[in-house]
Amino acid sequence: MSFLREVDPAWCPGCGNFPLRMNLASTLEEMGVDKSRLVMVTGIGQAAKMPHYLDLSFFNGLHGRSLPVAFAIKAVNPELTVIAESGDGDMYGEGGNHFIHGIRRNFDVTVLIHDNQIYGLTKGQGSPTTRKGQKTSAQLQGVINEPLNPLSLAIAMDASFVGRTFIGDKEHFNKVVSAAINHKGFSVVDIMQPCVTFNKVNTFKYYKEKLYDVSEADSSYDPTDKANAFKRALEWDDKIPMGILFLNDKPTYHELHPVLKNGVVLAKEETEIDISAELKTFR
Amino acid sequence: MRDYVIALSGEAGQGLNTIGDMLALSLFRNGYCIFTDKSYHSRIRGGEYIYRIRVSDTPLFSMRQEFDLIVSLSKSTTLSQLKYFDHKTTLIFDSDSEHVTTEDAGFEMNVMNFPFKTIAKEAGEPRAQNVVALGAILALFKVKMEIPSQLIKEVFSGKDEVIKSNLEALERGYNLELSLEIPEIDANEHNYYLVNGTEGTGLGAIAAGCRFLAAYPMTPGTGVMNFLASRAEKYGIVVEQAEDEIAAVNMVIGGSFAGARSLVTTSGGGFALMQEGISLAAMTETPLVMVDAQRPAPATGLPTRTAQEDLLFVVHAGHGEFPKYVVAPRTPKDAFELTEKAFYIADKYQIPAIILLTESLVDSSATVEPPIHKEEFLQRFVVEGGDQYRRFEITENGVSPRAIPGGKAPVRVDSDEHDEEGYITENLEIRKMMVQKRMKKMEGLLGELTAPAKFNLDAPLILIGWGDSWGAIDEFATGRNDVGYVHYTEVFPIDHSIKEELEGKRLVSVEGNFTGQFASLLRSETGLTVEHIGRYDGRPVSANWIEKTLQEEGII
Ligand SMILES: Cc1ncc(C[n+]2csc(CCOP(=O)(O)OP(=O)(O)O)c2C)c(N)n1
Ligand code: SF4
Repeated sequence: MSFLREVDPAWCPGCGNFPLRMNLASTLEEMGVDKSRLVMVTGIGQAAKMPHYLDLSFFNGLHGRSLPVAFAIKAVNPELTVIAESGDGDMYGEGGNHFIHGIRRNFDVTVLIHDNQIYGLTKGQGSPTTRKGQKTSAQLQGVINEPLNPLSLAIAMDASFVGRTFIGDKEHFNKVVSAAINHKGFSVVDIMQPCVTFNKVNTFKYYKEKLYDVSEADSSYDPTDKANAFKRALEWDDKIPMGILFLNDKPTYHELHPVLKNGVVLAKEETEIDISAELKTFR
Repeated sequence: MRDYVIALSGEAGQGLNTIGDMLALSLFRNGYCIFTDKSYHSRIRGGEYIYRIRVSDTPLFSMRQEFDLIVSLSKSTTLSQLKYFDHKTTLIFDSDSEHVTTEDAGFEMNVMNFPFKTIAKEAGEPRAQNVVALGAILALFKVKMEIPSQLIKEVFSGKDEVIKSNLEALERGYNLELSLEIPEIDANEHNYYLVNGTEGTGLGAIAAGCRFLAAYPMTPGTGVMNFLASRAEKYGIVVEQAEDEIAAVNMVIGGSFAGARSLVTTSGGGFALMQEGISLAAMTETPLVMVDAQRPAPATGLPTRTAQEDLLFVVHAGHGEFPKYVVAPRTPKDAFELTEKAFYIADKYQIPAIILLTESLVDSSATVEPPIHKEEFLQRFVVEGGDQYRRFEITENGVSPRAIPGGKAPVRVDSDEHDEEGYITENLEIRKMMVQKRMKKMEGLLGELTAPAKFNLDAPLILIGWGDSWGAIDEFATGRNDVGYVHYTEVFPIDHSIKEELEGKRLVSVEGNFTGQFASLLRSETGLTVEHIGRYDGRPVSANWIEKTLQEEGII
């Protein structure tokens, strides 16, 4: 089952979105994900164009708003596999509030963030993950705001799955993303990806040199150890951690919800509703 | 028609709501017709709280401003109500508490006092002073004792001691025998329901098969959210409190995209935040049903007061051009039926449908005929999809086949301009066709509208109204030869057919706003000349307010 669509994506030559697309399609294929039960929800941006270049059901909504849409799709039809995917500007900037509350809700969705540390589609403004001092098209003297650290934020909030991977390591990508899709609950995967046009700092080479996998570096790495995971997540300048950093096995939204825990599918059509008994209570 | 207006006045936290509800329900169950409303400050304790009940022998849908009887539990709140006293008003107060005097009022008042607190203490429950008052009023209306006794047992169920003392307080109140003249109002066996606008809307949503609701609390829109939450398990509904209004509306769009009838509720300020979602629903052609319970705005306005100020905002909500459907119910029964219809229209045309309520409608209980549930409104127009499925297929009537994910065909939906398959396009020919396709729905939609309510169109002066002002307008016009009215609940799009009937008449719209929003909508849609009078002090339009204002303006 191929998830690739034969198209010519509207990305710049050399953009990290290309390998991400190939990696994602092969991950889905290798996992044997049922295409008819898969829905991808995206926001707006270069990253968010992804579902147009894949063959699957999708809802490409508004900038920053993929998570509320993804949540509701999963709530009304738990039989669907839901992937929310977008850029760092989309997910951590405009959608930052939804990101925080998505973690709180712990509904079963996989969140893939193309973290190129820049706004691509709007031509090179700083994003929430752009490093301090970096000059951009809007921060001409350099960014003065503190960057957001999505992994430490997610771990601090007891997210149920927190990982990071890199578009340049197909195997690693496959490992982390498939684990995230298989994971029951809200899974965050920060994906390091260069924007060759607007970000001259965080290049392919930059990532290649700095990224290391936490459990490959230390075979005794325990992702359920929150304090340690948090410490790792704070690393950046010399070495950047990737892999499955944090796992927190906890009940999902559906498992806790008084209605959904019984396995109801709200999307089922109803052709008859008897309201008369309810009305009688108003006499 | 005979009627009588009772007001209970006190502070929030004094149990006025409980006692007001019990009084209203007892009168209703005894066979009277009831209309209630509430006037309160945006506070949880203290502040002014006035619960008004209008008793009549046929259903009424508006309040009369002047009280016949006011039971006062607090001096300060009663003072603010003096403007609603007339020579017939009787003030009952608790002689054990501080109360309003003739000197305070500056006019002669009919006053009665009873030691409610002492009586309640004797009954064994000092807090039951309002139950004593309840008993006294119910005796005045010859309401059978079993009715309130039963209610007390229900309200305090499980607390035997409290029930006992409250029943005792009720009986002592009942035996007080107020020496008051009240009009002969017929109490009859009837098939009516006592429902407020919140309940009407919530019941309509359940009847329509709504299974998902997302909202961020905002008075007075919160009621519908709470109503569905209280019945969520019974009907298998998921009610999610979103992190903000933007999330709420996007959730509801997601829920609807995935196949569940979904509802978002809010008030004006929250609706403002939802506008990008409205455009999203329009562009993705996802059915979206919204409740905007209006309060006086801009900004945060008066949270607990009423207005009809959001009409033009709602009608124009969302950027870009697209069709939408806006309804403003007249009564709680209407709220039920129009909510059902809103779900149906949203599904049939894959457009946003907005239910415009007001604080006065959501907070007022009225005696209504049983709302009519229409099974045909459950029709979802969802297709299976197959090999050749195209979500945005160009069709004759502009409505494309809507499949939901998880079925036979992939469903591709995009907020960017897209082709028939749902893929982004910048092809300007396709763009043009998509605009035409979406706008085409307007024709079908116009055919779905029911004619506005019409009364005495031969009269030289025709009042125009919309939404819950109907009760007041109808009451004012009934029995007059010189005045007729046209009243709308489906406020957008507007049915143009009325134009011929209204030509040559003096048209005055009666609205809960300053600028005459419906008047300008009607003017722009039909070219008719429409004047307006507006109430914008935060209180509902009433028949006597209409009369007074038309006189002041020299219109009658
Ligand atoms: C409400 C709204 N605000 C702003 C925009 C403009 N906009 C489009 S994409 C984008 C940023 C995209 O950055 P990112 O999410 O990092 O994705 P990238 O393009 O880098 O993949 C912005 C601000 C929009 N489409 N909608
Ligand atoms: S601007 Fe950057 S992110 Fe966008 S396509 Fe080009 S390289 Fe990729």
